[in-house]
Amino acid sequence: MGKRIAITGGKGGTGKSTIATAVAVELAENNRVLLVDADVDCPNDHLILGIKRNKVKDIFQPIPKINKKKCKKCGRCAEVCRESAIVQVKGEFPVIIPDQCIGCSACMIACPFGAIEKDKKKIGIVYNGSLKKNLDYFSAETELGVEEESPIINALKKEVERVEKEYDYVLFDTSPGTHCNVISALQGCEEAYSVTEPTPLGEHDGELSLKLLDKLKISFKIILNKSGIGDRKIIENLEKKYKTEIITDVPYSKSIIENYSKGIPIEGRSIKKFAEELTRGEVEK
Amino acid sequence: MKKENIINQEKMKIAVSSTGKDIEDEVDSRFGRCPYFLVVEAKKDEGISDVKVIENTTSEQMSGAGITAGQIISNEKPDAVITVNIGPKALQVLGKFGIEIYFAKGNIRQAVEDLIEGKLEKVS
Repeated sequence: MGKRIAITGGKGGTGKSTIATAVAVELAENNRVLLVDADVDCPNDHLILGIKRNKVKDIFQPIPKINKKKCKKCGRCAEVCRESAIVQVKGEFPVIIPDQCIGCSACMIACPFGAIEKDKKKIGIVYNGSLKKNLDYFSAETELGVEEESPIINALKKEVERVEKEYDYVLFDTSPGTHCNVISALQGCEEAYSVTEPTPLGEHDGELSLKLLDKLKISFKIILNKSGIGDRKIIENLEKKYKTEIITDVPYSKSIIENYSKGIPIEGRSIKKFAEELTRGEVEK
Repeated sequence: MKKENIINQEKMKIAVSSTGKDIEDEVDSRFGRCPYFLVVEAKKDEGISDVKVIENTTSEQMSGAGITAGQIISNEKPDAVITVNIGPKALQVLGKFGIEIYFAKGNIRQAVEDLIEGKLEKVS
Protein backbone atom coordinates (compact mmCIF):
# COMPACT_ATOMS: atom_id res chain seq x y z
CA MET A 1 0.00 0.00 0.00
CA GLY A 2 1.40 3.38 -1.00
CA LYS A 3 2.15 5.80 1.77
CA ARG A 4 -0.16 8.78 1.44
CA ILE A 5 1.59 12.11 1.74
CA ALA A 6 -0.02 15.53 1.38
CA ILE A 7 1.63 18.58 -0.15
CA THR A 8 -0.54 21.43 1.05
CA GLY A 9 -0.36 25.06 2.07
CA GLY A 10 -2.42 28.08 2.93
CA LYS A 11 -1.45 30.49 0.20
CA GLY A 12 -2.28 30.17 -3.47
CA GLY A 13 0.70 30.48 -5.79
CA THR A 14 3.16 29.60 -3.08
CA GLY A 15 4.55 26.57 -4.91
CA LYS A 16 2.60 23.50 -3.80
CA SER A 17 2.24 22.09 -7.30
CA THR A 18 5.76 23.13 -8.32
CA ILE A 19 7.18 21.24 -5.38
CA ALA A 20 4.77 18.30 -5.51
CA THR A 21 5.58 17.63 -9.17
CA ALA A 22 9.32 18.07 -8.56
CA VAL A 23 9.44 15.69 -5.63
CA ALA A 24 7.26 13.19 -7.50
CA VAL A 25 9.80 13.12 -10.33
CA GLU A 26 12.69 12.82 -7.87
CA LEU A 27 11.05 10.02 -5.87
CA ALA A 28 10.18 8.12 -9.03
CA GLU A 29 13.90 7.54 -9.66
CA ASN A 30 13.82 4.70 -7.13
CA ASN A 31 10.17 4.29 -6.14
CA ARG A 32 6.80 3.76 -7.68
CA VAL A 33 4.94 7.06 -7.31
CA LEU A 34 1.34 8.11 -7.85
CA LEU A 35 0.83 11.88 -7.98
CA VAL A 36 -2.74 12.91 -7.18
CA ASP A 37 -3.70 16.43 -8.17
CA ALA A 38 -6.48 17.16 -5.68
CA ASP A 39 -6.71 20.86 -6.55
CA VAL A 40 -10.01 20.16 -8.23
CA ASP A 41 -10.74 23.80 -9.05
CA CYS A 42 -7.60 24.27 -11.11
CA PRO A 43 -5.76 21.00 -11.51
CA ASN A 44 -2.58 21.71 -13.44
CA ASP A 45 0.12 19.28 -12.36
CA HIS A 46 -0.31 17.63 -15.77
CA LEU A 47 0.64 20.94 -17.40
CA ILE A 48 3.75 21.31 -15.26
CA LEU A 49 4.81 17.76 -16.11
CA GLY A 50 3.58 17.68 -19.69
CA ILE A 51 1.30 14.71 -19.03
CA LYS A 52 -1.50 14.05 -21.47
CA ARG A 53 -4.47 13.26 -19.26
CA ASN A 54 -7.14 10.72 -20.09
CA LYS A 55 -10.69 10.86 -18.86
CA VAL A 56 -11.44 8.00 -16.48
CA LYS A 57 -15.04 8.76 -15.63
CA ASP A 58 -17.65 11.41 -14.92
CA ILE A 59 -18.49 12.15 -11.30
CA PHE A 60 -22.17 12.38 -10.46
CA GLN A 61 -24.02 13.62 -7.45
CA PRO A 62 -27.51 12.46 -6.49
CA ILE A 63 -30.29 14.99 -6.87
CA PRO A 64 -33.96 14.48 -6.03
CA LYS A 65 -36.69 13.95 -8.56
CA ILE A 66 -40.34 14.24 -7.56
CA ASN A 67 -42.62 11.34 -8.42
CA LYS A 68 -45.84 13.27 -9.01
CA LYS A 69 -47.96 10.15 -8.64
CA LYS A 70 -46.84 9.67 -5.06
CA CYS A 71 -46.28 13.31 -3.96
CA LYS A 72 -48.98 14.75 -1.69
CA LYS A 73 -47.53 18.29 -1.78
CA CYS A 74 -46.94 18.26 1.98
CA GLY A 75 -43.78 20.36 1.76
CA ARG A 76 -41.68 18.22 4.11
CA CYS A 77 -38.86 17.98 1.54
CA ALA A 78 -38.57 21.75 1.22
CA GLU A 79 -38.58 22.09 5.02
CA VAL A 80 -35.63 19.75 5.53
CA CYS A 81 -33.55 21.11 2.66
CA ARG A 82 -30.84 23.25 4.24
CA GLU A 83 -29.63 24.46 0.86
CA SER A 84 -33.03 25.86 -0.18
CA ALA A 85 -32.79 23.65 -3.25
CA ILE A 86 -36.46 22.68 -3.03
CA VAL A 87 -39.18 25.26 -3.36
CA GLN A 88 -42.67 24.47 -2.20
CA VAL A 89 -45.61 26.71 -2.95
CA LYS A 90 -48.91 25.88 -1.31
CA GLY A 91 -50.98 23.55 -3.45
CA GLU A 92 -48.22 23.01 -6.01
CA PHE A 93 -45.71 20.24 -6.55
CA PRO A 94 -42.29 20.98 -5.03
CA VAL A 95 -39.75 22.43 -7.45
CA ILE A 96 -36.13 21.29 -7.43
CA ILE A 97 -33.31 23.74 -8.21
CA PRO A 98 -30.51 21.39 -9.32
CA ASP A 99 -27.75 24.05 -9.19
CA GLN A 100 -28.40 24.57 -5.50
CA CYS A 101 -28.56 20.89 -4.51
CA ILE A 102 -25.46 19.43 -2.85
CA GLY A 103 -26.76 15.85 -2.90
CA CYS A 104 -27.24 15.33 0.83
CA SER A 105 -30.40 13.26 0.17
CA ALA A 106 -32.18 14.52 3.32
CA CYS A 107 -35.34 15.12 1.27
CA MET A 108 -35.42 11.48 0.18
CA ILE A 109 -35.21 10.32 3.79
CA ALA A 110 -37.75 12.86 5.05
CA CYS A 111 -40.49 12.31 2.45
CA PRO A 112 -43.31 10.41 4.19
CA PHE A 113 -44.67 9.09 0.90
CA GLY A 114 -41.50 7.81 -0.75
CA ALA A 115 -42.19 10.24 -3.55
CA ILE A 116 -38.62 11.38 -4.09
CA GLU A 117 -36.53 9.39 -6.50
CA LYS A 118 -32.83 9.59 -7.20
CA ASP A 119 -31.71 11.47 -10.25
CA LYS A 120 -28.13 12.61 -10.86
CA LYS A 121 -26.18 15.60 -12.04
CA LYS A 122 -22.61 15.73 -13.30
CA ILE A 123 -20.27 17.59 -10.95
CA GLY A 124 -16.80 16.68 -12.22
CA ILE A 125 -14.46 14.41 -14.14
CA VAL A 126 -11.70 12.06 -12.97
CA TYR A 127 -8.55 11.93 -15.12
CA ASN A 128 -5.41 9.84 -15.13
CA GLY A 129 -2.14 9.79 -16.99
CA SER A 130 1.45 8.72 -16.85
CA LEU A 131 4.75 10.59 -17.18
CA LYS A 132 7.20 7.72 -17.24
CA LYS A 133 7.78 4.33 -15.75
CA ASN A 134 7.15 4.60 -12.02
CA LEU A 135 5.30 7.90 -12.18
CA ASP A 136 1.56 7.91 -12.72
CA TYR A 137 -0.97 10.63 -12.22
CA PHE A 138 -4.57 11.02 -11.13
CA SER A 139 -6.69 14.14 -10.84
CA ALA A 140 -10.24 15.43 -10.91
CA GLU A 141 -11.74 18.64 -12.20
CA THR A 142 -14.89 20.36 -10.96
CA GLU A 143 -17.66 21.34 -13.36
CA LEU A 144 -18.20 25.09 -13.52
CA GLY A 145 -20.61 26.42 -10.94
CA VAL A 146 -20.44 23.46 -8.54
CA GLU A 147 -20.01 24.79 -5.02
CA GLU A 148 -19.58 21.67 -2.92
CA GLU A 149 -16.32 19.96 -3.86
CA SER A 150 -15.82 17.29 -1.21
CA PRO A 151 -17.79 14.71 -3.25
CA ILE A 152 -15.37 15.31 -6.12
CA ILE A 153 -12.33 14.69 -3.92
CA ASN A 154 -14.00 11.61 -2.47
CA ALA A 155 -14.72 10.23 -5.93
CA LEU A 156 -11.08 10.88 -6.84
CA LYS A 157 -9.89 9.11 -3.69
CA LYS A 158 -12.06 6.12 -4.53
CA GLU A 159 -10.28 5.78 -7.88
CA VAL A 160 -6.92 6.17 -6.14
CA GLU A 161 -7.82 3.43 -3.64
CA ARG A 162 -8.29 0.93 -6.45
CA VAL A 163 -4.70 1.28 -7.61
CA GLU A 164 -2.69 2.58 -4.68
CA LYS A 165 -1.35 -0.83 -3.63
CA GLU A 166 0.78 -0.75 -6.77
CA TYR A 167 2.74 2.26 -5.53
CA ASP A 168 5.25 3.05 -2.81
CA TYR A 169 4.15 6.67 -2.47
CA VAL A 170 0.88 8.45 -3.16
CA LEU A 171 1.36 12.22 -3.16
CA PHE A 172 -1.74 14.36 -2.73
CA ASP A 173 -1.27 17.88 -4.06
CA THR A 174 -4.12 19.84 -2.42
CA SER A 175 -5.86 23.13 -3.15
CA PRO A 176 -4.61 26.11 -1.17
CA GLY A 177 -6.37 27.14 2.01
CA THR A 178 -8.38 25.33 4.63
CA HIS A 179 -11.82 24.72 3.17
CA CYS A 180 -13.78 21.49 2.62
CA ASN A 181 -11.99 20.18 -0.42
CA VAL A 182 -8.58 20.64 1.25
CA ILE A 183 -9.83 18.81 4.34
CA SER A 184 -11.20 15.96 2.23
CA ALA A 185 -7.87 15.64 0.45
CA LEU A 186 -5.90 15.67 3.73
CA GLN A 187 -8.05 13.04 5.42
CA GLY A 188 -6.33 9.70 5.16
CA CYS A 189 -2.85 11.17 4.59
CA GLU A 190 -0.22 9.90 6.99
CA GLU A 191 1.85 13.03 6.90
CA ALA A 192 1.70 16.46 5.37
CA TYR A 193 4.16 19.05 4.12
CA SER A 194 2.94 22.61 4.18
CA VAL A 195 4.54 24.79 1.53
CA THR A 196 4.92 28.46 2.29
CA GLU A 197 7.11 31.45 1.51
CA PRO A 198 8.95 34.00 3.69
CA THR A 199 6.47 36.83 3.12
CA PRO A 200 3.69 38.26 5.32
CA LEU A 201 1.13 36.44 3.16
CA GLY A 202 3.11 33.24 3.47
CA GLU A 203 3.20 33.69 7.22
CA HIS A 204 -0.50 34.38 7.62
CA ASP A 205 -1.84 31.79 5.19
CA GLY A 206 0.84 29.30 6.16
CA GLU A 207 -0.24 29.48 9.78
CA LEU A 208 -3.84 28.72 8.81
CA SER A 209 -2.62 25.60 7.04
CA LEU A 210 -0.60 24.50 10.09
CA LYS A 211 -3.57 25.11 12.38
CA LEU A 212 -5.73 22.94 10.17
CA LEU A 213 -3.17 20.12 10.12
CA ASP A 214 -2.91 20.36 13.89
CA LYS A 215 -6.67 20.10 14.20
CA LEU A 216 -6.80 17.11 11.87
CA LYS A 217 -3.99 15.49 13.88
CA ILE A 218 -1.85 14.91 10.82
CA SER A 219 1.88 15.21 11.50
CA PHE A 220 3.37 18.00 9.46
CA LYS A 221 6.52 19.85 8.51
CA ILE A 222 7.19 23.03 6.57
CA ILE A 223 8.75 23.47 3.15
CA LEU A 224 10.03 26.97 2.57
CA ASN A 225 9.71 27.97 -1.05
CA LYS A 226 11.07 31.19 -2.58
CA SER A 227 13.74 31.14 0.07
CA GLY A 228 16.01 34.17 -0.11
CA ILE A 229 13.29 36.76 -0.57
CA GLY A 230 11.39 38.39 2.28
CA ASP A 231 12.23 37.47 5.85
CA ARG A 232 12.94 33.85 6.84
CA LYS A 233 12.51 34.73 10.53
CA ILE A 234 8.73 35.02 10.30
CA ILE A 235 8.49 31.41 9.14
CA GLU A 236 11.05 30.34 11.76
CA ASN A 237 8.64 31.79 14.32
CA LEU A 238 5.90 29.51 13.00
CA GLU A 239 8.36 26.62 13.15
CA LYS A 240 8.88 27.28 16.86
CA LYS A 241 5.26 28.02 17.65
CA TYR A 242 4.04 24.76 16.11
CA LYS A 243 7.06 22.74 17.29
CA THR A 244 7.82 21.64 13.77
CA GLU A 245 10.68 21.94 11.34
CA ILE A 246 11.48 23.62 8.04
CA ILE A 247 12.83 20.60 6.22
CA THR A 248 14.10 22.30 3.10
CA ASP A 249 14.58 25.71 1.53
CA VAL A 250 13.77 25.89 -2.15
CA PRO A 251 15.63 28.94 -3.43
CA TYR A 252 13.93 31.77 -5.26
CA SER A 253 15.53 31.82 -8.68
CA LYS A 254 14.73 32.99 -12.14
CA SER A 255 15.74 29.67 -13.69
CA ILE A 256 13.10 27.83 -11.63
CA ILE A 257 10.42 30.16 -12.94
CA GLU A 258 11.72 29.87 -16.51
CA ASN A 259 11.64 26.09 -16.32
CA TYR A 260 8.20 26.19 -14.73
CA SER A 261 6.90 28.24 -17.64
CA LYS A 262 8.29 25.64 -20.06
CA GLY A 263 6.75 22.73 -18.18
CA ILE A 264 10.05 21.46 -16.78
CA PRO A 265 9.87 20.32 -13.15
CA ILE A 266 12.46 21.86 -10.87
CA GLU A 267 15.29 19.78 -9.53
CA GLY A 268 18.22 20.32 -7.27
CA ARG A 269 19.52 19.88 -3.78
CA SER A 270 16.45 21.25 -2.00
CA ILE A 271 14.10 18.82 -3.74
CA LYS A 272 16.51 15.90 -3.18
CA LYS A 273 16.48 16.81 0.50
CA PHE A 274 12.71 16.64 0.56
CA ALA A 275 12.72 13.26 -1.20
CA GLU A 276 15.25 11.95 1.31
CA GLU A 277 13.04 13.14 4.13
CA LEU A 278 10.11 11.22 2.63
CA THR A 279 12.06 8.01 2.16
CA ARG A 280 13.78 8.15 5.52
CA GLY A 281 10.78 7.29 7.62
CA GLU A 282 8.13 8.74 9.81
CA VAL A 283 7.71 12.43 10.40
CA GLU A 284 7.81 13.09 14.09
CA LYS A 285 5.70 15.81 15.52
CA MET B 1 -48.80 27.50 -22.71
CA LYS B 2 -47.55 31.05 -23.22
CA LYS B 3 -50.07 33.64 -22.23
CA GLU B 4 -50.16 36.01 -25.17
CA ASN B 5 -51.00 39.11 -23.26
CA ILE B 6 -51.64 39.09 -19.56
CA ILE B 7 -52.14 42.84 -19.64
CA ASN B 8 -55.72 42.53 -20.86
CA GLN B 9 -56.66 40.05 -18.21
CA GLU B 10 -59.16 41.06 -15.56
CA LYS B 11 -57.06 42.12 -12.65
CA MET B 12 -53.32 41.65 -12.47
CA LYS B 13 -51.31 40.72 -9.43
CA ILE B 14 -47.84 42.24 -9.66
CA ALA B 15 -44.97 41.71 -7.23
CA VAL B 16 -42.33 44.45 -7.12
CA SER B 17 -38.92 44.50 -5.40
CA SER B 18 -39.08 47.66 -3.32
CA THR B 19 -36.74 49.94 -1.40
CA GLY B 20 -39.52 50.63 1.15
CA LYS B 21 -43.07 49.91 2.23
CA ASP B 22 -44.80 52.51 0.11
CA ILE B 23 -46.08 52.51 -3.46
CA GLU B 24 -44.19 55.80 -3.95
CA ASP B 25 -40.86 54.13 -3.08
CA GLU B 26 -38.53 52.93 -5.79
CA VAL B 27 -38.09 49.61 -7.50
CA ASP B 28 -35.16 48.01 -5.64
CA SER B 29 -32.25 47.10 -7.88
CA ARG B 30 -31.95 43.59 -6.43
CA PHE B 31 -34.67 41.00 -6.49
CA GLY B 32 -33.29 38.40 -4.06
CA ARG B 33 -31.99 40.83 -1.49
CA CYS B 34 -34.38 43.77 -1.62
CA PRO B 35 -35.76 44.81 1.80
CA TYR B 36 -39.47 44.64 0.84
CA PHE B 37 -41.78 43.31 -1.78
CA LEU B 38 -44.97 45.12 -2.69
CA VAL B 39 -47.68 42.89 -4.08
CA VAL B 40 -49.95 45.17 -6.05
CA GLU B 41 -53.30 44.47 -7.64
CA ALA B 42 -54.05 46.60 -10.64
CA LYS B 43 -56.23 46.70 -13.72
CA LYS B 44 -55.92 48.55 -16.97
CA ASP B 45 -57.90 51.83 -17.00
CA GLU B 46 -58.73 51.45 -13.31
CA GLY B 47 -55.25 51.63 -11.80
CA ILE B 48 -54.01 50.24 -8.52
CA SER B 49 -56.61 48.75 -6.19
CA ASP B 50 -54.59 46.99 -3.49
CA VAL B 51 -51.03 47.05 -2.08
CA LYS B 52 -49.65 44.42 0.24
CA VAL B 53 -46.24 44.78 1.90
CA ILE B 54 -44.08 41.72 2.43
CA GLU B 55 -40.81 41.95 4.31
CA ASN B 56 -38.03 40.09 2.52
CA THR B 57 -36.59 37.79 5.16
CA THR B 58 -33.79 36.66 2.86
CA SER B 59 -31.84 39.89 2.79
CA GLU B 60 -29.37 38.64 5.40
CA GLN B 61 -29.25 35.04 4.22
CA MET B 62 -25.73 33.91 3.28
CA SER B 63 -26.59 32.23 0.01
CA GLY B 64 -29.63 31.01 -1.87
CA ALA B 65 -31.44 34.31 -1.24
CA GLY B 66 -32.77 34.27 -4.78
CA ILE B 67 -34.45 30.94 -4.20
CA THR B 68 -36.07 31.94 -0.94
CA ALA B 69 -37.21 35.24 -2.42
CA GLY B 70 -38.55 33.32 -5.41
CA GLN B 71 -40.45 31.09 -3.03
CA ILE B 72 -41.90 34.01 -1.06
CA ILE B 73 -43.12 35.59 -4.28
CA SER B 74 -44.34 32.34 -5.84
CA ASN B 75 -46.47 31.78 -2.74
CA GLU B 76 -48.34 34.98 -3.57
CA LYS B 77 -49.11 33.61 -7.03
CA PRO B 78 -48.58 36.85 -8.92
CA ASP B 79 -48.96 37.15 -12.68
CA ALA B 80 -45.82 39.23 -13.02
CA VAL B 81 -42.75 40.54 -11.22
CA ILE B 82 -41.18 43.98 -11.70
CA THR B 83 -37.54 44.37 -10.69
CA VAL B 84 -34.25 45.81 -11.94
CA ASN B 85 -31.93 42.81 -11.69
CA ILE B 86 -32.70 39.18 -11.05
CA GLY B 87 -30.27 36.34 -10.38
CA PRO B 88 -30.29 32.94 -12.09
CA LYS B 89 -31.69 31.05 -9.11
CA ALA B 90 -34.66 33.35 -8.56
CA LEU B 91 -35.25 33.28 -12.29
CA GLN B 92 -35.41 29.48 -12.23
CA VAL B 93 -37.97 29.48 -9.40
CA LEU B 94 -40.24 32.13 -10.92
CA GLY B 95 -39.93 30.46 -14.31
CA LYS B 96 -41.09 27.13 -12.91
CA PHE B 97 -44.27 28.79 -11.65
CA GLY B 98 -44.87 30.62 -14.92
CA ILE B 99 -44.46 34.10 -13.46
CA GLU B 100 -43.52 36.75 -16.02
CA ILE B 101 -40.68 39.15 -15.34
CA TYR B 102 -40.44 42.81 -16.36
CA PHE B 103 -37.63 45.28 -15.81
CA ALA B 104 -38.30 48.85 -14.68
CA LYS B 105 -36.53 51.48 -12.59
CA GLY B 106 -37.71 54.36 -10.42
CA ASN B 107 -41.11 55.03 -8.85
CA ILE B 108 -43.14 51.87 -8.21
CA ARG B 109 -46.55 53.41 -8.95
CA GLN B 110 -45.24 54.57 -12.31
CA ALA B 111 -43.70 51.16 -13.06
CA VAL B 112 -46.95 49.35 -12.26
CA GLU B 113 -48.97 51.78 -14.37
CA ASP B 114 -46.53 51.37 -17.24
CA LEU B 115 -46.92 47.61 -16.96
CA ILE B 116 -50.71 47.56 -17.01
CA GLU B 117 -50.69 49.93 -19.94
CA GLY B 118 -48.43 47.55 -21.80
CA LYS B 119 -45.42 49.85 -21.88
CA LEU B 120 -42.91 47.49 -20.25
CA GLU B 121 -41.05 44.88 -22.16
CA LYS B 122 -41.24 41.33 -20.89
CA VAL B 123 -37.91 39.78 -19.96
CA SER B 124 -39.06 36.22 -19.48
